[in-house]
Amino acid sequence: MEFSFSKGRKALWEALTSQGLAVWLIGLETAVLLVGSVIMAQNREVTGAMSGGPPLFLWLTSGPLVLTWWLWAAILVLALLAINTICCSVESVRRKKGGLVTLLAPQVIHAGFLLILVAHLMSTLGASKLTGELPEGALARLPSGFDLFLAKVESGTRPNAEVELLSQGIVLKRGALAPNHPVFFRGYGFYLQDVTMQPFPAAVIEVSLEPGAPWALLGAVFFTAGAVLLALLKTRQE
Amino acid sequence: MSPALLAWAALPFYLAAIAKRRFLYAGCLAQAAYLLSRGIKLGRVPLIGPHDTLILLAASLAGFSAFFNETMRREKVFGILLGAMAFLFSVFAMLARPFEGALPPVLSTYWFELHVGLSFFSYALFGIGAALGVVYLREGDAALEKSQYRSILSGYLLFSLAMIAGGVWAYLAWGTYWLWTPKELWTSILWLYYSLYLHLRLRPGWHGKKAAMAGAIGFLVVLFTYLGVGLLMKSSHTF
Repeated sequence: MEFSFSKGRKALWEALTSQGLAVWLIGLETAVLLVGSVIMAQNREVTGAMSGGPPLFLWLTSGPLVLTWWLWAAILVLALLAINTICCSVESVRRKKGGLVTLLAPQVIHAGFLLILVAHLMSTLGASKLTGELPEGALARLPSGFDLFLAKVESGTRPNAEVELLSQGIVLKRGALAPNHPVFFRGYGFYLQDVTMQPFPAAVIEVSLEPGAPWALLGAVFFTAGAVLLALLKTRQE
Repeated sequence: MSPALLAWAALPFYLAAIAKRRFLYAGCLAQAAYLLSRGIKLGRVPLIGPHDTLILLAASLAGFSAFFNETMRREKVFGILLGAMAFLFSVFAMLARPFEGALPPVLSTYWFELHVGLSFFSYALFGIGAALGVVYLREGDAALEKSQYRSILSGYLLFSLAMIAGGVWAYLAWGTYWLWTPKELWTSILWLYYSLYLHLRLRPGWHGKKAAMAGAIGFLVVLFTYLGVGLLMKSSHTF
């Protein structure tokens, strides 16, 4: 189907679908992150604030601009890159240049990249963490409305803890926590951070909400599928 | 024979590879046998600290060079560069103290092993890409630049997979697939840099010298991400 554009709209579309723009934006994003890494290294509190408890967006809006400006800039450039990526993909599909795999592989990669951006956006707005020490046999009321009961704690080479998640005294889920083995319940992840046996058996448990995680995983699957296809194609072509 | 002897044996092999390329494979085999024996002794995949990872990097460089055997046969300088790189990484590895302790519980997962293994395989392919770029800039044979592209593209794929494995591991260990630390930021910088290279190469006028140079410079970003960030910037990757 032929699109009809006025001159200005056509020029804008050409700019938005341009590979040159993608190159500039990727270069700019690289430079911004480079500056960000220096700011981060010189201001250790930045790392803590960015990976700490409340959503990153809260820190972005309340933190000192001298420390946050680079992340704002990175988000802006990524937003432009996302628009450029979508436009490039639309234009490629519209032109139907090359075979089906040649046409689709880069678009699948682009879809994966965009899904990962969506994941980061969701996590920036909604991710949160809550960490606390819970003695064995104690119950903690969580802001999400249900209770966490620490049934048993074991230390040693493989520390672990048995937990129950309850609502109004009814056990909804039982699970065993260990390093790298969280328990998931209603979108929340429960993580064993530490175990102490003195002066009384207790566990440091982190409750984490990461709304972007499923989207990041989906994006990773898309990206990998597209990249494998493209690598196979390109290595043959070149 | 002491397993450490295998690691030391790789050094003369890599030096000899400068004269005869087949010694690269001998060095690779010696280091692979060393890592295997260390793995059996420790009861885990030995991937912690600069000693293990630099040996893995050197062995991977030598191992992946097999895919470019024809280029090595034609271009002696390429074999010399790879031999020199593998030798240098091996020397630094032998200067670093091996980590013999028990694995911290948070590292005891296949996702960690996959993350580190894939990262160093990709670094090796980026290293091979850099060497091919340097040889292309010297010789001007277009086939070399195409080989560089293939190497970098394969490295990019493995590096992306390493990032995904790292994300899954981080999610299972710390409840988030992304940690905001300088190391993670530099991982993104490295990934973006090679994304830039791959997009640049699609642009008219970016085949040949410019692409070869960009591909070669990429390995400096790799080295800074691997060694520089650890030395200059505190990160969650310091265990």
